[in-house]
Amino acid sequence: MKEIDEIIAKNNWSKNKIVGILQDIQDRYGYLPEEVLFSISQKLNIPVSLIYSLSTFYKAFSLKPKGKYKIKVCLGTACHVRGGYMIVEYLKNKLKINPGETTEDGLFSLETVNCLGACAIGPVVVLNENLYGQMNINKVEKLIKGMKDEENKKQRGT
Amino acid sequence: MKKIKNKEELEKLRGRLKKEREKYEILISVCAETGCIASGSLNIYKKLEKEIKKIKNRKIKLLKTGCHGFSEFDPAIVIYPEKIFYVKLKEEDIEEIVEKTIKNGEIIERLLYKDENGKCISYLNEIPFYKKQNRLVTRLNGLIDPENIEDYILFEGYSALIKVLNEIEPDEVIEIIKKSGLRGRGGGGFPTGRKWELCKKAEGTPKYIICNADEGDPGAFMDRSVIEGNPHSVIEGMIIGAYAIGSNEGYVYIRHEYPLALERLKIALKQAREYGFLGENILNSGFSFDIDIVRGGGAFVCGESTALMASIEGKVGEPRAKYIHTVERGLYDKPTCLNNVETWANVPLIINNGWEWYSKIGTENSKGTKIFSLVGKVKNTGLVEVDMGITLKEIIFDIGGGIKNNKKFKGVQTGGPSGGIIPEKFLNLPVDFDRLNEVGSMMGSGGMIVMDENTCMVDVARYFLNFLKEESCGKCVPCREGIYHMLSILNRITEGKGEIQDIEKLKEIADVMKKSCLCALGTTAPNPVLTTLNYFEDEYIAHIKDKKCLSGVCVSLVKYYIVPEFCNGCHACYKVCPIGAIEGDVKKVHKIKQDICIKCGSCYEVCKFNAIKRD
Amino acid sequence: MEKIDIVINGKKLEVEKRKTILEIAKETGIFIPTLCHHPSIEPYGVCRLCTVEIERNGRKRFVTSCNYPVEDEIEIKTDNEEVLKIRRMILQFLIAKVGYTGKIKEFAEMYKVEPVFGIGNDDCILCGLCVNVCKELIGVNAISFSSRGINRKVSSPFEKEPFDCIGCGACSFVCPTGAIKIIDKGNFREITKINAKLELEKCKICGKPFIPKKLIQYMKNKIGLKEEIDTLYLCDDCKKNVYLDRINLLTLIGGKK
Repeated sequence: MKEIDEIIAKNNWSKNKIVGILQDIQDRYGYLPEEVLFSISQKLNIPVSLIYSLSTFYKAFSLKPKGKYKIKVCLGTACHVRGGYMIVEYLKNKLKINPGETTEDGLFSLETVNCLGACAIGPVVVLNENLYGQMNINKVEKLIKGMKDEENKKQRGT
Repeated sequence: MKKIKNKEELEKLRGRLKKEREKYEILISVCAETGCIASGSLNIYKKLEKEIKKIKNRKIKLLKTGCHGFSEFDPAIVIYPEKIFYVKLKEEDIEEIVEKTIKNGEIIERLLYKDENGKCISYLNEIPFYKKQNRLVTRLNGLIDPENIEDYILFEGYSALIKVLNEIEPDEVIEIIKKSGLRGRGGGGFPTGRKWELCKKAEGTPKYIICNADEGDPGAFMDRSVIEGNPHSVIEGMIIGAYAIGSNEGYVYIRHEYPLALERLKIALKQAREYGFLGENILNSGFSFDIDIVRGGGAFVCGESTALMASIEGKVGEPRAKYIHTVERGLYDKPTCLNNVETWANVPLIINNGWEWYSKIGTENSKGTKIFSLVGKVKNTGLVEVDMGITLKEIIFDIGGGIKNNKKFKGVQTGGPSGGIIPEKFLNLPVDFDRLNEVGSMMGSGGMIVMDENTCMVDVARYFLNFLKEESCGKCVPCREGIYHMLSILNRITEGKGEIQDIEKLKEIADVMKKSCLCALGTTAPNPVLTTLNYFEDEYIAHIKDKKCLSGVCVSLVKYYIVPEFCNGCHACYKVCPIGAIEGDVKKVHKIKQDICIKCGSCYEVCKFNAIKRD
Repeated sequence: MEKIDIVINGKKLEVEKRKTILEIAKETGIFIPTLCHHPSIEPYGVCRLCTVEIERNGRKRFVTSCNYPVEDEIEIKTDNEEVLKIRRMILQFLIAKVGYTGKIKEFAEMYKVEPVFGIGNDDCILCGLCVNVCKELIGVNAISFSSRGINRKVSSPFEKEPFDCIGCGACSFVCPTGAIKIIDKGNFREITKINAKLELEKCKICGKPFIPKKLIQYMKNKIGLKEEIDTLYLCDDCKKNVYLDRINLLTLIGGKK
């Protein structure tokens, strides 16, 4: 909870900066924990219903923890025209989740994004902040396999 | 003490920086923008750094810069002073470059750009991609390190600000911008000088300046490029605007999906404060101004000015009725001047070179240049800056190099989800604020997506509505429900369940939406549907009557199958299928499992024996 | 107040500047349907049902009458063909969502609206009256809208019991489709749709549970009450009896009949 105070202090204890505060919380914890939101509501005297509105309105926020490997597929027009939607279909099939969901083992979460601005190298896929351009289904398959291999390695303790 | 106190100190610093730069025999610029980095340019940079360190007795400067704009050929470097342009580089190429070109001035042909006829072009300015461009706002992308304010200062940076603070009264600044003819680059095209004037006249304090860096149109990355390549141009423009209007507080609202642009902006603001261009009593003028950054939360609707302001106020990004304009009552109900990134970046240029110079560029009603992100099925994708009035044909074919893989041009989408698709017959239209509106589209913020024969226009209309379905704030009935019902109809059509009365229905819904939606997201949402209906009605009819998608895109209407007579069991399709939808043993006839097939077309592309057909 | 000249449905009028078209229509007996409008809260302008056509300086536009301030020389048309087209389609959208319920049914019959997009069975038209009344009139902000676009809905925080709800039922009272219901059962008041469950105070005389405890607290805070008033804790019937007794007592003492 001390961290929450730090984040609020960094934003000048200003009610207007609530969206920025929530972004810092999202960055810090990977999602917006309910208890934290109640705490902020009390500390800043903002109705909890408003904070709930903000948490569900902005796509940047998640009320549930995301997967260890966060996959974002760009569905901007340029990426779509170059087949980005195929990649989403493939991942839905492969990971057995819909965009916005996380696999049961907590490893992968899938999201679609509306344009990351790297249109010239579309289709674009982001894996945990790393941007990969000119992707196709085969490359994505290799990427997923690579992550799974790493996980297996870690689990075996090598 | 870095702080600049007056014109003399700035010029002295500039003189010193010039001398320092001149010491270098060779300058290498490596583009380091989001797209370039994704292509591996940072590894190129690191390798170059390592190799150059080994060279003794030569003065070589290595710079991480903004993008040259020629994204299709990244990672690329430019070697000055000759401007040798090496493209599509890999780490393995670096040693050879250092050995041959840096040390001995030899040009390596295989790393050069090759034109249509296979001819190698060594120098940046000779490349056809750049010939018809007029890179004014983006002129420093590729020459300066965006994370170093002194590079900006070296190239006349902040001189416009000093000129304004020392010699020009606020009202005169507004007159200059008015006379220049600058219009808003975010898509609205409202005369910028007039907007400043209205804001200045409006009653109420404090007044606010906002830079809209939310750039939500999918396929558009002009603003991202400007901020990542030359953030100070935007900052300087904002300070000048604030001075003219009488504002002391500014905001840059930057979208959440642009982390690198955010980083560079933070660094730039910090440096601008250190050097005295932002803060209290700027350059001893008595004028104070500072800028705060507000991050978007992942909502396209926040590009709309009233929704953006609500977001800054800590609310959900819901637009409000604009019966009272934001220049009078905007942020916190105070007079607010909101302009786009590119608009602000044009301001220092106009001050430095004069409004007359600026007003000679472009067309009668659209002055200056415009940056476009040219993407899609075009050969030379990238960021282009051209004079207003250039034709679509010149952009797509002369600069863009024509359609990729020698396919046929079908249409170009401009204006994002608010715009429309322009067919071949209008390719000779000049691009500016007004001409594209004549054919149902708009220039918009600059996204230009080129489509070929394999793009299904019904799918494109469906795509945009699908995009807006979740980006609509959902507040007003006609937008929320109208988009939903239009989308339902389009989904049915692309699944082969369309009916002929659907076309009329779509037009009726479009008409009501255009008149009754609360904000521009809703009123322009029907545009992609209307333009595709207007120019590509035959595709809609084919989907509805014949249940066919001639472009091979609509998954439910496309079928890939193997003709047994032509299949020799080479197994190539089996290997390339991403989800195991093909069954068959080597040397035996293969078959596609229709219930699993996702119609990606990979097998179709790979079969050398024409055994796979597409229906 | 400054006066200006306008024309509404062909009739010339002199009206106060800064009034909305809806206010003027009401004053002159012209009916414009509304769904998200309520006299005691700020105009919200989201149902768009009150859309009318205006013309000024040769420029024709469509605006919502609930929040558009009239201007000099404006010409307003509240019932022409284009306006009716818009009105009908909005009702068609709403019927597709909630079917023929409440006010929707009333307007659908008035404008002879066909269910072109189907008949839905949802309960909420997202007019926002509940949210806005809770925010502006009651001031507790117990509920809000969540998500956006087609997923927009009225929610209690985290879809759990609303922390700030006082159980006043104003949301239920203003709802045009009857989507929010108050159910008093045993010692609790439940308010459907917003997941509210509040403990009821028991009448000090007859013991019947009659008002949410939080509501009494809210009333005390609102008036700034420092001491206890016993009638706050009496149900309506018992309160009435107590008052009648007091009036009789007063008449006896003071009246000397």
